[in-house]
Amino acid sequence: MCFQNFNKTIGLFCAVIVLFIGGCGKLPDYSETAFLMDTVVTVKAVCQNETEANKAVRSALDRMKLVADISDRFNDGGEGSLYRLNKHSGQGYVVEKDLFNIISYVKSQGKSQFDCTLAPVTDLWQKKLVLKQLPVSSEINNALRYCGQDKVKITSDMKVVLNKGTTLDLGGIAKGYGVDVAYDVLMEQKVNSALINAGGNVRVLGKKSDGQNWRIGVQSPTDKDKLLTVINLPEGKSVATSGDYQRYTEINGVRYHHLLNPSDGYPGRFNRSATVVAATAMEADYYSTVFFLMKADEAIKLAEKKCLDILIVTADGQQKCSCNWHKLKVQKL
Amino acid sequence: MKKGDWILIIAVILISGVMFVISLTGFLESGEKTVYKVQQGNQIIYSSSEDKELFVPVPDGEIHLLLKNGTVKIISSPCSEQFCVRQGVSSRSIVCLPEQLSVVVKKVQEKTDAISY
Repeated sequence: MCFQNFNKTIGLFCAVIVLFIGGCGKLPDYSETAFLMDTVVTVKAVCQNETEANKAVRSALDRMKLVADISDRFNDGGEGSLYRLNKHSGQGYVVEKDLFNIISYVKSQGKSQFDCTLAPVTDLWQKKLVLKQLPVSSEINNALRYCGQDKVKITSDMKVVLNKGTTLDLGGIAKGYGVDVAYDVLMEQKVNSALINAGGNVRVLGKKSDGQNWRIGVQSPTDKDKLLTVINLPEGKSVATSGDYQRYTEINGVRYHHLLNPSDGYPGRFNRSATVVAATAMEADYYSTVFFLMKADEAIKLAEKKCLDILIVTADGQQKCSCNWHKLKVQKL
Repeated sequence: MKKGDWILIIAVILISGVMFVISLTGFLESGEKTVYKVQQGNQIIYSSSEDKELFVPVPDGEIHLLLKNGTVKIISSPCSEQFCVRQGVSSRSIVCLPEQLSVVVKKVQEKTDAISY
């Protein structure tokens, strides 16, 4: 009898151990990092098969590279690229499909704080800040003459027409689009679990191998080594942050960053950072800039209207968020 | 089933439950360990948990960096903007975009999968 009980016990114990190990066992992940779109891009895929995972990750990065090339305004990305479109300012120019998609998205959002025609003002600021100087208002106003979404027209045959002197800068949105196309490639390659991180613009595919949501930390704008919060990013969603602490120059104790307000051509002063969770990386990228440049309360109202979740750190350090933000927060780390 | 069987079943369930709770708390894993990863372009130059002072040759000269006590500091860089040098000491990552160099300090057992910044 004792022997029978002993056998049963061992059998049951082994079954539970096997189930325990099987249930908690993590699949391996494969990642690759590349410098694209002026930032560090990492694609990580969780997969049992190493060859398939590596192939999927490589394909995703290759696809992102194409988007990086055609949306680069400083280097010639070939026929249909942004570089050549800007060279054809004042004329119509047929652009690549990816470029057309990005410009169409911006146009479809209407007039907002995100203005992809601010390139002349951005260039003016960069030229001056390198010399530790500030542009004078007449210079800014002169550059602003060429800016405004109304100076960009698109036609159904993928032609983009820029007013003479107008040039586009898609730096604030192409990265998000690149993340989305990489996401699509991973889906096509039947990857079920992945994370794409393009300089803090993150999109996740599925859940982690342990069945948990991917956990994304949001960097504090005041201390780069601290996190404001950690969120569970729902499957398929994206998070992006715009802040004044990544690229800036200080002159006489005042910080001049790269996010310019299209209405006056000066760096936005309402907030330190704006973090957005959206359905796509392009949307998150676009709206993180828009909300950064708005007063926090107005930004939250707009975000809730658009069903986006946001967390804003205002210029005086207050944290404000949309009503559903707390649902994303990891309660216990 | 006999009384002994019930006791055994309950014991096994209890042990499994304890193991599950232990796995959730991460108690089974060892203490936090730091791994440094230095990458230039698409090439990984250094990937190790050992502290090290590195001089990385780049097209414009060399980048001098220090990996110490789970932190990274770029001491000097030939890049024009010097953003990377001005970042000081970081316990997460520093990137020098003009020279295409990234240094990531990864804490194994970290509670996040990525940082949005």
